[in-house]
Formats: sequence, structure tokens, C-alpha cells
Amino acid sequence: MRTTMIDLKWIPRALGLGLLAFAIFGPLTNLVLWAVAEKWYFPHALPLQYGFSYWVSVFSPRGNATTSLTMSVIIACLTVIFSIGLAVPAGYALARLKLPFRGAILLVLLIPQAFPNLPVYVNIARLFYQIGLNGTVVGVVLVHVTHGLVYAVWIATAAFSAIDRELEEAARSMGASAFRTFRDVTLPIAAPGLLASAVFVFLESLDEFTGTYFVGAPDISTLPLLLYTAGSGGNYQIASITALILLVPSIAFMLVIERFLRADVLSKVGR
Amino acid sequence: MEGYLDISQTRVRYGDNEILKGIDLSVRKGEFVALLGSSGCGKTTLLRTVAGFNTPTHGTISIGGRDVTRQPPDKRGMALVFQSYALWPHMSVDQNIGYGLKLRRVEAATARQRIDEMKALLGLQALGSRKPAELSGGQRQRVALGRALAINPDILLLDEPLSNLDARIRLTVRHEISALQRRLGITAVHVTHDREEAMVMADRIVIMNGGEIAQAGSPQEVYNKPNSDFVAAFMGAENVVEININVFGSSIGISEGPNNRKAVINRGDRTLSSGKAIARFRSEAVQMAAAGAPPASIQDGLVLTGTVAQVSYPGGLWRHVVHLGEVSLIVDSATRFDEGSAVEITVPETALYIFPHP
Repeated sequence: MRTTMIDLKWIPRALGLGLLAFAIFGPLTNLVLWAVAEKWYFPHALPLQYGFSYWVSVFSPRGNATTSLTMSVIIACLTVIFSIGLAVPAGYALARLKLPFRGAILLVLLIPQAFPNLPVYVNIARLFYQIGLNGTVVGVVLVHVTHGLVYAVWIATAAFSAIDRELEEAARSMGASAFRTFRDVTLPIAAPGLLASAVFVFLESLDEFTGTYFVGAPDISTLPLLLYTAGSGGNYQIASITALILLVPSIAFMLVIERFLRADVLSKVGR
Repeated sequence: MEGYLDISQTRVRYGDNEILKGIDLSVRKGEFVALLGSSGCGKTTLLRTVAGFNTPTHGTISIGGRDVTRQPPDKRGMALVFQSYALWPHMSVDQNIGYGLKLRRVEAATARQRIDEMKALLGLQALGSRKPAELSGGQRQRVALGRALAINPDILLLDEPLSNLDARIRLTVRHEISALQRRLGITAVHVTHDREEAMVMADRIVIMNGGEIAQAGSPQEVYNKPNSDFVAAFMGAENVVEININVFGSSIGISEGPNNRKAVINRGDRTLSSGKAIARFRSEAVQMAAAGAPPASIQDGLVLTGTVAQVSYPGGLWRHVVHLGEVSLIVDSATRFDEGSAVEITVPETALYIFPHP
């Protein structure tokens, strides 16, 4: 009797894990199936015909995927450069200097996230339209930076706080100027954390839809916009292929983050 | 006497707390000075102030006549060895040792030679390409020392560099550091809370208490002639009894008390006035005998009478806990006295430190 009770214990756990796996891999499977389906309609559970003709058309010169992909990467790279460029000095100041309202400053960076996206972007779009930034790469990058800066500054602050001050003092004592100390000691030690924050910003920018739509469309087309157009047009094959392309950098970068973002940095995020 | 490193009237505060309350200290070129004190006495603050990481609110610090009080740490020509060693984790042993040379734009070949010299000096030859994380505590400590010595600093500052080492390694590293310092003729200031470490390593010991210098002098001086109750206690004279004294001319008379006999000792250079006083002495500096022995001359020193409460053998001498009424003393003796036996403890004049009752 006792043994059977123990034997049955795996059932709820197995069910839970099964549901979790289905929740994660179900949509992904659907995505992959759609990406290679030539013909698939109700009530059939699986595609009727498989093939890569949609891949060819997506990557053909007439298809917009290549242009959108290039545009997405350019915007993401610019967003990273801009965000990290701001986050390094800001994070260092927040971590090291005795700033008044330190907590308030960190909180202010969250504000763009705190308000509903749509009204914010509609207003930004109106503002950018007046000053001629609508439909430009710069305009879209600026919108992405407001998003990316939160990750960048918060993680950079944590990365700098995690560095033992004595390491910097040792460099000063050896005769290094404040700037030299930052370049030779602080920055290299903080680099893994900064790299991780750059990856977050990159992914955030690559995925961003709402802001790009209001500020960039129709002149600027990124992969999420292409996906939206294809999806709303009922073209699930094109949408699925675009989604798969978007998935590649995400997975690649998650592996990078796992490698570089150390626990002592993570524990200082937001402090 | 003009020193090389001169600290005068230095005061440092953190917020409302005054950590250093006016320090005057002068260190000669080539001298090894130990700042000794318990935690919170301001010794590390003083070292960091000399290094340039704290700015005094008052007073000056000068090196060879050059006022450096307002200069940043990198312009002072000193090298600080941290308690945590503070080795840069992203650099190899060679890079850590060579960093100061790189900053000074020393030619690559010359720097290479200097790094090898340092490694040979400290026995790190095989470890040049390792990262600090791959070294043992003792090896890290030596890398930190090599990094500081590589630049030939005017003054070497050591902030408890031995406190993170195993007790056994610490004993050898102590001698290594002081031998090295003597050989290279470096001026060094060493912070420690370990009395023996300070005694063994330093030419001069500066005992600090509550942000002030309690006493400064050679190891023999502070050990044998403590100038205050605090210094005597800190230097190991932990047995304390209350006595009544009469000062007359060049002698001090100790009147008979409940636990001590009448005695007369030479005043020497003690500055005392008649009345209540406290006497301090070290456990090992006394003779113990069974009570009832023929009374010694009153000029032999202070004779205390008590009963043994506990005996133990820590090695070498027998350690007795002796009760004198309320007071309990620790007395070491070559012969063992049983628990409960009545004993007489004779403290010779030279081992007796008398201070006014607080």
C-alpha cells in the first residue's frame, strides 16, 4: 500500500512538467511548422505540404525581410552604442559618487516603463513630427534608448558597485590618475556586466514594436513591423519565418549573458 | 630631529566623528615604524591619510620637506599594501607587479627584468602567468608586496598585510618582510593590531588609542617602560592590583594592604604622587613561592598573598589563576602549586608598573 502511494507521487509532477513543456514548446512547434508549411488549412492537424518556397520569397530581393533585418540590426546597434555611452558614466556616478537622491534618479529611469506605452508613443510621435524626427532612424533610436537606458544604467550601476573600492585605490597608490584607474582597472572588471547590459539593450531594441510603429512607420521597417504586417495580412508563413529570425539573436545572447553576468553583479541590481 | 615623513597636528574626521585627534609623528628615512592599536583606534585611518585617501581637516603631512597634504594618492610616491591585497583579478601576476612600471613608462625590457627580480625576491618565479584567483593567500600577499616594491616607493605603507594569513605562514612572512625592508633600506609604516608582530618587525612602535598616540618608542621602551596604564595593559601587563603609595624622595613606599606586604622600591623616573594607585605586572615576570616561607626583605619588590584557584599547563610554565580576595591574577611559574594552596607572589621592582588610580 505504502509503496504504491509513493509510486503515484510522480504523476502530478509529470503533469506539471508536461504542461510547462507544452506551454513553452507548443507555440514554438507551431511556429516551426508554419515556417515550413506550403499548404495548411482547417481541419487538418498537420500541414498538408512542406517546403521552403516562402523562405525563398522572404529572402528574395523583392521580399522586405533582408532590408528589415538590416534596419533592425542597425537600429539595435545604434541604440546599444547610445545607451551604453550614457550608462557607463551614469552608472559609475551612481555607484561611486555620493549623489543626493540616488534612489530617485534610479527610479526616474523607470518612468518611461511605468506609463502605458501607447499614449506615451503617440505623444512622442506628435512631438517628433513637429521637429522632423518622425520616420528617421535617429527618431526610432531615441525611442529605443528611453527603453534601453533602464537596463543599461541599472546593470551598469550594479556592475560598478560590485567592484571593491580597494582595487581602484591600489591603482591610485601605484601612481595611476583617476582616469587611468578607470580605464585600466574599473572598466575591465566591470566589462562582463556592461556586456550583459548591452545584450539586454540590443534584444530590447530588436523586439521593440510599439514605439517603432508610431515613430518610424512607414518609412522605417524593422523585423517586428514586418512580422506585424505579415501576420495581420494572414500570411502566417512569412510571420513565422520572421519570428524565427528574431529568435536567433535572442537565444544566442541569452547564452552570452548566462556566461558573463555574475551573481555578485546581479545581486546589486537596483541597489 | 628632522624626519623624512612628517605628520604634524593631523586631525581627520568622518562626519561628526573625529577619528584622529592631532597626530604628531616623524619617521626617519629607512626606519620601520609600526602603528599598533586595537580596532577603531585610528591606526588605519592614519595610514590612509598618509597614503592620500583621507584628507585631514587640520595639520600637514610632508615627505622630505615637500608638503603633500592636498596631493592625490598617485602623486605621493608611496605604495600601499592592502589588508585584502587588492590584486587586480583581470591581470596576471606579472601584470600586477608590472603595472606601476607601465604607468612610469619604463622600457619593456627593463620592466621585464624588474618583474623577474621581484618574483625572484619573493619566490614567485613559477607563477608569473597565473591570475590572482589561482594563488594561495600567502602567494597573493607576496604578489601585493612585489607590486608595491617594484616601483621603488619612497615610503612603503602596510595595512595589516599579515592578518589574512595562517598563523604559521605569518611567522615566516614577518621576518621576510622586515629582512627585505632592511636590505632595501625602505622607509616603512606598518599597521597592525598584533603586539608581537610589531615588536618583531619594527624599529619603533607607535601605540595608538582613541585617535591619539599613547606612546612611541623602541620595542624595548614600550615593553619595559610603558608610560600609561593603557600602554602597560596593551603590552601584556594584564595583572592589576590596587595599592596605596607614599612617595618620599627617590623611594616609593607601598603600605601594607589586605593582600600585600609593606614594600619600598626605588622611584626611578616614575612621576607619581602619594595616595591610591594601581600596580600592573606580567604573568611571567614574577616569582611564586608557598606561603610561610621566611619573609623576604621589604626591598625585594611587591609581595602579594593569595590562593591558587586553578592550574593549567599551556607549555613551558605552569599557569596559575590566583585569587587575592576579589582580585584574580594569572601567574606563570616553573613549579606547580596545587589548587587551594596559599602562595606568595613577588613582583620585582623592574617588572612593576605603577600608575595613579584613575
